[in-house]
Amino acid sequence: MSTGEDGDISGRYPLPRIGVPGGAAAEERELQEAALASLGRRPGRLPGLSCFEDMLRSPADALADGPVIGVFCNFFPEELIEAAGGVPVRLCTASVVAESVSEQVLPRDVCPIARASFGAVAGGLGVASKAQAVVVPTACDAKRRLGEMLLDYVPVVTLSIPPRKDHRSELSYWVPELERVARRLSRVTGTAVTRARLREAILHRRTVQDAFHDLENARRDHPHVLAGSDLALVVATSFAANWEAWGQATRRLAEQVRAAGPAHPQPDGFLPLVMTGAPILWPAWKLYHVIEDAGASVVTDTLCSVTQRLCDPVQVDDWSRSGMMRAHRRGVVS
Amino acid sequence: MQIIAFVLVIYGGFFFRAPLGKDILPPLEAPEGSYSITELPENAIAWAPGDEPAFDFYPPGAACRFNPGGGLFKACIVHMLSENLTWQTPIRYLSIYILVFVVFAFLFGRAWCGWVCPLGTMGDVLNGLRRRLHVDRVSFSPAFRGGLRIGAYSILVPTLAISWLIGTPRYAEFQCYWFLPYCQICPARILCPFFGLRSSTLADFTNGVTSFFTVTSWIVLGLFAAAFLLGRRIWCHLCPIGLVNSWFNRGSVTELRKDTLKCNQCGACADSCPMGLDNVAREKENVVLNQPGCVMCMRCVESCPRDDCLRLTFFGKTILRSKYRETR
Repeated sequence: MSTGEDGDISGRYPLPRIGVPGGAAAEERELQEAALASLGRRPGRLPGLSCFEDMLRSPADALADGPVIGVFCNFFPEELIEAAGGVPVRLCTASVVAESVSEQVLPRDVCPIARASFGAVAGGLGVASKAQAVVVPTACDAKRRLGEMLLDYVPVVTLSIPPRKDHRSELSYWVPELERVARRLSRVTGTAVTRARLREAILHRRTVQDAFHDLENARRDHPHVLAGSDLALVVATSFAANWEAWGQATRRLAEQVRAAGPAHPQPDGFLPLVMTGAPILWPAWKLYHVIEDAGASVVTDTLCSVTQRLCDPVQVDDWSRSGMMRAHRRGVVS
Repeated sequence: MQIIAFVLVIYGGFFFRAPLGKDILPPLEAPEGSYSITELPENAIAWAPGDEPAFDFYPPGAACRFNPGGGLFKACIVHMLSENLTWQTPIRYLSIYILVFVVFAFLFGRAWCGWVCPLGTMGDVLNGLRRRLHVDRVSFSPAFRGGLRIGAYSILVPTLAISWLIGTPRYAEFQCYWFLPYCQICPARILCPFFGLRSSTLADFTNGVTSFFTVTSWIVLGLFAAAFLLGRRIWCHLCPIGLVNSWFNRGSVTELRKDTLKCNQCGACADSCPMGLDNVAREKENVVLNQPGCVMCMRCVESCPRDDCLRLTFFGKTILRSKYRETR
């Protein structure tokens, strides 16, 4: 049994090593290709989507240099990892292969996202195998348990999320907690989170969000040109991507949406839908297929795995260190 | 815009007095037969003399009477009320000045504090200095800010009471030392003359009263500088001029409006509010958000990343709206 340090959560009991079946990686690739092929068969897809598909096929190759730090949940500000010299990779997954691996340890009635994410990290599947540490925000009970259980496989940094986002006292808790996590990350990466590095990371991340907003604006005018499943695919690639390349590809896609919009008028009977609820994670695109096969389309959503991932920028009013930390409260503390 | 307003308010007398040639409104003076001692002792409570302003109006905002060369406006509302309570000026003489003030206040609310007040502009320069040095601000609790508002009443009410008392025959002899009591300690009385290369009286230890005002004005000036340097506009919660303006914020035709359905409570507006208010972020029902403490600086609208979530309207017409701004 491993224990956390410096305010992190501790494990409760020792867990066994996890064995990964020999064909797991191949099975994972096969399922992914099947999902991509299914999307590819849809008529009128924009050519700009192909580079996102390539990013999904080999996410580890696209990553920038530096120690990879895995992240679970949208609540964690990935800018902190970049400021600490790390490469943030969001490890939330819905892979059935990872989920089956996790069943060596976890019971079946655990949250499927937590189970699959656990399997990916504990089994070292895909890009999760490169993670030198993982950050687990205590956003829900499953995530908290996930942090406890992963301690035996990888260094875990816990970020405690304030239980009430609209309580004034929470902000005085949130900033010191982020500072603590920044110190922990610095110990993992060997690079201190300085004010200048944090500022650079925030501005860097903003350029990515700017690109996403550009795509969202283009899509707002022409919602039928880019299907909801394709937008979700674009965001899924941002989980483990080189941000510069991702931003450029997204800008190109936005241009294609604008260019294609006037030439492709909205079809009769177009049914726009808003999707809310639990995150939909790659490659489990089943719900998108059901909706789009029925002639409807998800035009927007409130999912942490799609629009919510990049829509709220870190809006810094005061570029002091505490000011920047305080600005990382989007959606956590109002 | 604040710099332009500052130059106009401080040096407006130079720019406009000569072209106008005459007063639009006659200056308010002590009515004949009042108990006013108009000739103050030379060494009693002395300050840099204020020349004639361009307009004999009393606008919302700290337009100081003691601007060198005369400012754009006559003085602030606290000055006007104090002076005329001492002079026991009949209301019929005052009504037009009060009407002008009320019209200005209803038109723009506390935007006067946020955009025109020279003290606020000086304070924002200090705040800007702190930001340049990347020093974090000091945050204050809502209870502390509420306490400051009570403090503003605690300044305003005695100021007006003293002004009225020294206008009565029984206490008229105290006028030479207690005339315009808030002006004795107001930072504007000390700071505004400097911009005309004149110095106001910084030390007067002639007697107990002048010594009290001298020491108090130093303390207030220190608090003013510290408040703006470290606490953004926390001072404006204590300002009695801002307090009077705040009475007209609700109902003003300048409105801060929120589309509550577009807000996801990211908190960017609360973080950027120099008055430390968070009601803009928290509001889930009301559309108009004109709080008494809001100085309508519009930092919240500027910082809000949601398109059209926050708007500044004038007579219902949108003049500023929030939008996502790309970094570069």
